Amino acid sequence: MTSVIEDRIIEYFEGSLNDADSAELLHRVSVSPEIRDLFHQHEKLRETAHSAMNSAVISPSLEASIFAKVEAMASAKSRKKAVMVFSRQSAVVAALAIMLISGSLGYFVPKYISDNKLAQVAALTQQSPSQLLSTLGKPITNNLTSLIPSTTSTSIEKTGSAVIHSRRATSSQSDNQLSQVHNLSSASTQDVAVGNNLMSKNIAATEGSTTELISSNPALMPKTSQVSDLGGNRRSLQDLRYSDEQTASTFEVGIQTSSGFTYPASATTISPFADQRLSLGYHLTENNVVGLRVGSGLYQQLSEMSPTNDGGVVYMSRHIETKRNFNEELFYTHLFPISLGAPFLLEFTVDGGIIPNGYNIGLECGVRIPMNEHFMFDAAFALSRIHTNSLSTEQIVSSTQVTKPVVFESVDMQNTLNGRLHYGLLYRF
Amino acid sequence: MMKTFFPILCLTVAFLSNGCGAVTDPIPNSPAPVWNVEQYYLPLKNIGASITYCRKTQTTIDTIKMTMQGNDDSGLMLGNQYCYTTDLSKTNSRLFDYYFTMNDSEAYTLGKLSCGQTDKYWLDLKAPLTVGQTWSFSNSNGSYYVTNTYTAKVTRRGVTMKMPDGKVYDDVAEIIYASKSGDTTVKWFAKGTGLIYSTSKNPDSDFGKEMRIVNQ
Repeated sequence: MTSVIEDRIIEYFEGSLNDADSAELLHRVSVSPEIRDLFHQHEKLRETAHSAMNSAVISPSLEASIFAKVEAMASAKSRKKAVMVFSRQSAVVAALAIMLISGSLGYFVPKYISDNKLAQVAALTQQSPSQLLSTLGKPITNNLTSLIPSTTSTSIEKTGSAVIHSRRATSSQSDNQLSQVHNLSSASTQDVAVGNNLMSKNIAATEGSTTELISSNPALMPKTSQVSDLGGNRRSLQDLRYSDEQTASTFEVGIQTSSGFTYPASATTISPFADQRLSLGYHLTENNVVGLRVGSGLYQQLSEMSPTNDGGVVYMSRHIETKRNFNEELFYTHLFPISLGAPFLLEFTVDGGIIPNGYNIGLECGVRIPMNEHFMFDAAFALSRIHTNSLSTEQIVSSTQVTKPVVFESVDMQNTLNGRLHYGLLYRF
Repeated sequence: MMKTFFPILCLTVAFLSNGCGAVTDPIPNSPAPVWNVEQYYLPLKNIGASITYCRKTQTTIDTIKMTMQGNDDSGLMLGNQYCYTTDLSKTNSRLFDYYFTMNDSEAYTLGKLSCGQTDKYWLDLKAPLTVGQTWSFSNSNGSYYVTNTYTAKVTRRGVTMKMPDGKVYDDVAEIIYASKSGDTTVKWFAKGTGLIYSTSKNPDSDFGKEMRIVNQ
């Protein structure tokens, strides 16, 4: 009987229990103190394991950055798709990303998962099973001790950013048996000392305050209408941090400067801070941005045909010159969230705009590195084709009426290429 | 992922197919040096060819017709195989023969005496013909007492020149001849045509203050 109800509880926390069975389980929890205790024990165990791992690895600043990123990935419009975006699979991917970011945990957790033993929890915390269980509260200790099976079958499941440790028991076990398991597994986890320390710190921090930790975090509180399953289909990483009324940032403003080169007519060196541009973007979706940019930059363009009279001859000359011009352009950016030790986004942009007496079209490739919830460092390399609206030399010659010999000295270079490394800050709001 | 990459790929292809070559225009190259100056000089070898010039002197404006007569016999007898003669005439009147010498590397005016002697030696072109190229020569302009040293410099190559009659000449070379005496003569030679225009501050120049091609 006990194993069946415990299986139900485990399935409930895993999110694999259907609605009818969930309702039945919750009903039984509400009417049976024994089942309710068991339910709460599992819940606290899961939350403790989760919070221990979570805070053991992610510093507050990094956590803020990550959740800012996560928050940024769910715009108001895409929130309807949150179930899809933050499905179980996505949550797992995000969790993996977080683990990678966290570095050491990203190394330890897979071992922790693969070993699939409860004793690893104890080993990671460098505490005896009794100590570990004591940190979870006396009732849990008593209950878990009584639930340890004769043939230990421990499952540790990682879903989302949480590691869920569940235990199925078929018979009672003594503390000594649990200690044996702990000793065996601790020997195999000596190489995870760093992780142990981190986990120990966390457990120490949460010791005796499990209830407070859970109650202080609404996301960890069980809800009758929403399963508090970190790996379930109904919870997202964002939900762990932000309440549902949290609004997403849909606009961004950026300021950038740049340096680079111009091909083929680099008459003037494009020194650092040569160009400046201000952009205002709107997130169509989290990863698709359209916007408007205005900038001041150096462009290689054809000069006006200027006549000079020298004796009996008129000279008409035109050449490529470096001009500082303002430009206005529209851009579309697609972002690819990437996590390689730290979260950042690859950005690919197409843009096009106008400059005096011409236009520009370009492609950009760059990276955005979140600094905090709102600010991002943005760097992108851009190649832009600069076109100057002008007549060809042949057209000018044929259309020019002359009364004396005219010498035309002109180049026909309407199109040049700008290469720029733009760098600056973005602010999302 | 494909839904994302495909539009970007299309845009990239469209951007590039706009022409890798059309992304920028070709770099304007400086005209290559010309080692055979004959192609920029008068068609002296083309017997019977004629060029008509409008000549302005200090006082008059007339039209001169220059007809090519090929190698000069007396010149050949003297061994000067590069000496060519032209017949200069005005309307209804023949003026005189005018002599030039031309080979691959040099083309110059001898004057109206003969191939054997020159009274107005003028080194018009000298290879390599490229912007910045300079050369010097002495010119007496028919005087037995005064000799001026001129420095010639190629100031333009490959430019286009349009005449008042609308005729356009491509690949024109501009040479400025300057002397310390204050004379500055400028001549424009078009590839395949020869002299198309000249200006001079020398009042005694055979080509006047200004001479412009009007017909070929």
